Amino acid sequence: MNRIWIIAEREFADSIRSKRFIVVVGIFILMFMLNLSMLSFASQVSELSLEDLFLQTSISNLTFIASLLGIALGFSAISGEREKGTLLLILSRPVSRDQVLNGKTLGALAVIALSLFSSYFILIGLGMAGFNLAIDLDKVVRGALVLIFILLYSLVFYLASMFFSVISRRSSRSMVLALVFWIIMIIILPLIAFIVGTALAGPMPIGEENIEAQMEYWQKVSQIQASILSFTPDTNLQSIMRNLLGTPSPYGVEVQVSVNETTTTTPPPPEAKSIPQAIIDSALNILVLIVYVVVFYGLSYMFFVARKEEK
Amino acid sequence: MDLAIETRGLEKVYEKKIHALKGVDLQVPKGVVFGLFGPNGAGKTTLLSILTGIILPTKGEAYVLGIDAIKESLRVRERVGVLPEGFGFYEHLSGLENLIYLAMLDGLSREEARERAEKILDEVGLCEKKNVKVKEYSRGMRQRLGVAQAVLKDPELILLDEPTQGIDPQGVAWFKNFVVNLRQKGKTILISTHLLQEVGTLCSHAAIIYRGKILTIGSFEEISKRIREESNISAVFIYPNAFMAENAYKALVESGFGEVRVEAEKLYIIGDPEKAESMLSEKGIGVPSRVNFPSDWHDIFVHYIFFRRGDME
Repeated sequence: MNRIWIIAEREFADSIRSKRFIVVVGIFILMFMLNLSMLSFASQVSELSLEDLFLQTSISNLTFIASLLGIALGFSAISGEREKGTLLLILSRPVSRDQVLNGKTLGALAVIALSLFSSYFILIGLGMAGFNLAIDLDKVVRGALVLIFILLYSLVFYLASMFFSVISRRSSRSMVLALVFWIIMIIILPLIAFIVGTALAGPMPIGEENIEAQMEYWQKVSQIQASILSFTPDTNLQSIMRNLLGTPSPYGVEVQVSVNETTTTTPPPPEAKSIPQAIIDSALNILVLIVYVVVFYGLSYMFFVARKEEK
Repeated sequence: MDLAIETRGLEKVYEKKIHALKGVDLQVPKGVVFGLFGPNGAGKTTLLSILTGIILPTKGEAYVLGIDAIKESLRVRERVGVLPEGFGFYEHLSGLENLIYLAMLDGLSREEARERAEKILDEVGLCEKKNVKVKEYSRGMRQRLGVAQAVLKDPELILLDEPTQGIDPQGVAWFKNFVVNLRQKGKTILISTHLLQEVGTLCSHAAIIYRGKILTIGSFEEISKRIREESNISAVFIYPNAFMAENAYKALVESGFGEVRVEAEKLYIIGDPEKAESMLSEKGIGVPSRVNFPSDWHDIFVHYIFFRRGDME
């Protein structure tokens, strides 16, 4: 058997049994139950149907979990083996370092893919059978296609974490680095983008007579925000999802102003494109995700394969 | 001479400017048990890591079984078994499962790997514990499992880094017997250690490494001859323990006997051993055992590391 497969098989078996995997699955179940309880309320205020909301909530939960799973499986990929002393036993055999990296990545990818697809189809089944939702087949297929890109997205986080585990002697350090990366990408950057957007857009016009100016203001903020975040994995995945599922843009806000308060609502969902068209339109976003994968894998490869193991 | 290992001018400077190896020339003949002796931090592990391609040298050449260990480390690892220092196993797997995994990485099919792993576990005396998780193994059992994984693919050359560290005398005795059996099968075994008294008797050849340099290399007879030519130590008095040796040492110094050195349970006599014996006898101290210098690898180690350290630096 190919050595990459042997390592992948070991990685898969170990990951599935690991505590951190069980914790991430636990977080997912908790999140889903929380969202489910809010679903009927959300359907009253949203333009989307209950079925679409259910599907999108499920997919956005899976997106969040996929990034966490990537981090959880990647941060100790190499440093963990180094700490246990098992890396020495593996490397004392006719196994090349790139086989170790490839095997580990393949194993983790299999775990994430299995988790994503099984959760997705369980959720669809639960929605249809348990809540009598009439989710149409086209949407189920589109959702499944989105999962492939979520897998690519989670690979970005896995490979970033694996890189941190290559350069760190201790898993605790690589875990901190990986979490910092995750927090920056998912929380800090969107916040910074919003702050920069509002700062650059200038003061917001106030008053009922300035509705159009206010709409322009928010559009400007959104544009700045979107350009700042255009390179993040999350923004690119959202864009792919928008093309495939026809979900509204997180930046495409609509402003409603009354005498006393200003509120924003999302516009009606855009029509979903045909699947081939959606993929063509997402080519650049897919490319960005691939660039991330290549860069992080390349960095791991450079440091690990160059035998830069130091005392 | 047919060599199992040969290095020329091997140097290793780590990123933190630690000069771990300073031009190491090593020749290990085939079919011998070879000792790589040196104190902690001498460069033994670095040297072994380079021989197996785990790290790259800064300079120099290394050949293992005639294969360039720097350029073709995978080919080296196909034919060499290694017990690295600081190794570990998958704690949640049994000894058998660990060995099957490693044997498969050695290139065996799953069935062959199982068959081979069971055979080796039997040879190292872990057959009854083969299905027990490694986390429940004692230190000695882990070390046996470590030796088992090193001989899993029936290699021609076996590199053992500190194989007896932390194991009890019973474990050391088992290890010695195991190495003797391997030697009888015609294997070349390199043992890297600072615990000479535990495994020194196994080795017919050795190199003493200190601060990244090989101080001496050869068979016991060759090195002994060299030392006798340069050393003025005439005899070694061996006592049952270090305390008695220290008493004898003090008695000789107080009696004004020329020069004498003490190292653990041994007195190294420089001058006339007959005179030293009679001076001790006058103080009621006997000499349980008297041998020529050097009597074993430990004497050679002591000579280079403790007595001649000043000359080497």
